[in-house]
Amino acid sequence: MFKRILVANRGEIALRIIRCCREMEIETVAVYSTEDRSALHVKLATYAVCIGPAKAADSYLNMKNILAAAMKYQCDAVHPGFGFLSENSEFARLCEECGICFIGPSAAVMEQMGNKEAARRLMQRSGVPVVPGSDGRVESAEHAAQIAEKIGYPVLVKASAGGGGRGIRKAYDVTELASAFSSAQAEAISCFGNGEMYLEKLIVNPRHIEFQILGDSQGNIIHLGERDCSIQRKNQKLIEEAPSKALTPALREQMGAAAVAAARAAGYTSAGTVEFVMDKDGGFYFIEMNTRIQVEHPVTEMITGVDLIREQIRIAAGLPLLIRQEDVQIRGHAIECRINAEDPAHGFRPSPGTVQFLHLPGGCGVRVDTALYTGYKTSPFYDSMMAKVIVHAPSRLEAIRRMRRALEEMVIDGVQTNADFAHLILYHPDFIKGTYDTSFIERNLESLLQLDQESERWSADPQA
Amino acid sequence: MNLQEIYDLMEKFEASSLAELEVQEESGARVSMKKAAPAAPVFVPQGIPAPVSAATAPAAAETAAAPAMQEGTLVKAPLVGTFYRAPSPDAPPFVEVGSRVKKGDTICLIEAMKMINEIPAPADGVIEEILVENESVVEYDAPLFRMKELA
Repeated sequence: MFKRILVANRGEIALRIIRCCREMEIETVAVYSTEDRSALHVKLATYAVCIGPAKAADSYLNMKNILAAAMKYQCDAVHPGFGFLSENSEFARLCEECGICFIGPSAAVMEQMGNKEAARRLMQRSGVPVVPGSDGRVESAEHAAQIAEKIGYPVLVKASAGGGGRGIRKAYDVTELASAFSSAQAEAISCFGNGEMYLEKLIVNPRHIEFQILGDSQGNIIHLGERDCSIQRKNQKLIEEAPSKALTPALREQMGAAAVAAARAAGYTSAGTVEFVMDKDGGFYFIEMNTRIQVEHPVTEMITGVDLIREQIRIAAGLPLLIRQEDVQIRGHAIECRINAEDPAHGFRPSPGTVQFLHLPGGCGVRVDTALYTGYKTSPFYDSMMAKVIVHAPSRLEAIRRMRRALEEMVIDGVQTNADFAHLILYHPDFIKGTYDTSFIERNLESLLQLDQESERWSADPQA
Repeated sequence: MNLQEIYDLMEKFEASSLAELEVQEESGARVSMKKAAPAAPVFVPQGIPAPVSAATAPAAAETAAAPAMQEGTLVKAPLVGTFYRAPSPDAPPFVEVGSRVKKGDTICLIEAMKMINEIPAPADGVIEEILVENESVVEYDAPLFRMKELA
């Protein structure tokens, strides 16, 4: 087992990994930028090294400094968390070359899955349903038009090297296609340095269903059920839950098998997520695989009782999975709300500030993953996610009630957050019925914001 | 103890990581062995504190810099690595306390991942204090020298 792991990340995920390492009696090395000197992950690690100035490109993305720190502190492994270098195959390769274990899949697997178009083709060959689309790359707008004729509009022009929702454009008919193609390609070249494009049918207002995968070095691959992440705003997830109300047991089994087949085709090891879109008729299609631990991993942990970070570390150390597919039990229901330092009333703009007073909810079935503390100052250099509130309860309705209670109890003074906005969603009939898709927030944004503002005014002056 | 036993003991001692060994027999005979101070290990991380409080890691670099709160310019590490005062182990250091430097003169090396980086003096001046020990591991922004700039 590893003796010392460098955590190449910050915030709540760095803390999550450090906590797991402490339980496994593995020493940790935290890295931090000058901006994060007083961060919680710095305080709780065994050792801490400053690796650069505030800007992420010079610190948390600084492979040279991070590797130097890992070698100087004689770390035998690096955990990249999510974001930052977690899906950077160059970094994974450098770790391998320096004799440091990268906790995640190999650089080769990462590269294969990182090329979305190649991943799609691999899935097709392996019998995993994919969104109807082009067979390989699309060379030009004319070529795209030919394919779009066959598969039907609307279509999505997508960058092979894409990620994070970039290098994608919609086209609802042939007149929109040429400009969609050229602007998507231009964005792809500027963001990823690669203008290779492919085409997919656009499934309108799908549900976003993803399956958690674990694979060890001995070829054992299991899935730990799905997460429904359809509550999204501009492709950013806000609320995730498991199990999904959209899945029947039969569908779950089918999709789970497809997810495992996808991971097997990729030769995947470590924790990963297979993403599907689901249309109104229950048809599901592979869109991509995320080769990292994800933000919403606690949702799966709550319903299965499996510690995913610990499994990642064990897998990286060459140990076999602790459980087999038949041992995986989904119990109860879990929901996660992402609490971001943003102001819903003003276009969700990032809301800087210092946390003057913090009270986090607790009690039965409530978990909060956060690096906040009273006095914490939010930073413009990093993303605005402050905390994740996760609840678990025997039934979905109880979980919804528990989340409402948890959010009502939570106090984060000094910073605007989306907590009230999320809280309102938990009262929406479509959410309660579980009949929502990825268009939910967009369609209900105005009424939710209105309710939010009215309740603000009311609580400021109940007599008004 | 006979001679052979002492030779055996010497061998075992040499191979062990002990620095000192003393054996006393009932007869009063005593054998005492000591090793010369061990060669400085390849890596002596200066900032590594006792595991209890990681907060002292950055503090260690900071308390070393506390006296440098006096006047002067701090030259800080632009990267993470091992600090070397001289171009090679047998060469004299680039600078000593009192050395005059011109802007751009190399005043130390920081080695990271087998690559040597020359750290230049940020301005003309005099080195007033050397804040880290040779071959210690430095983090980003760690104060290395205090120097007085000359117009």
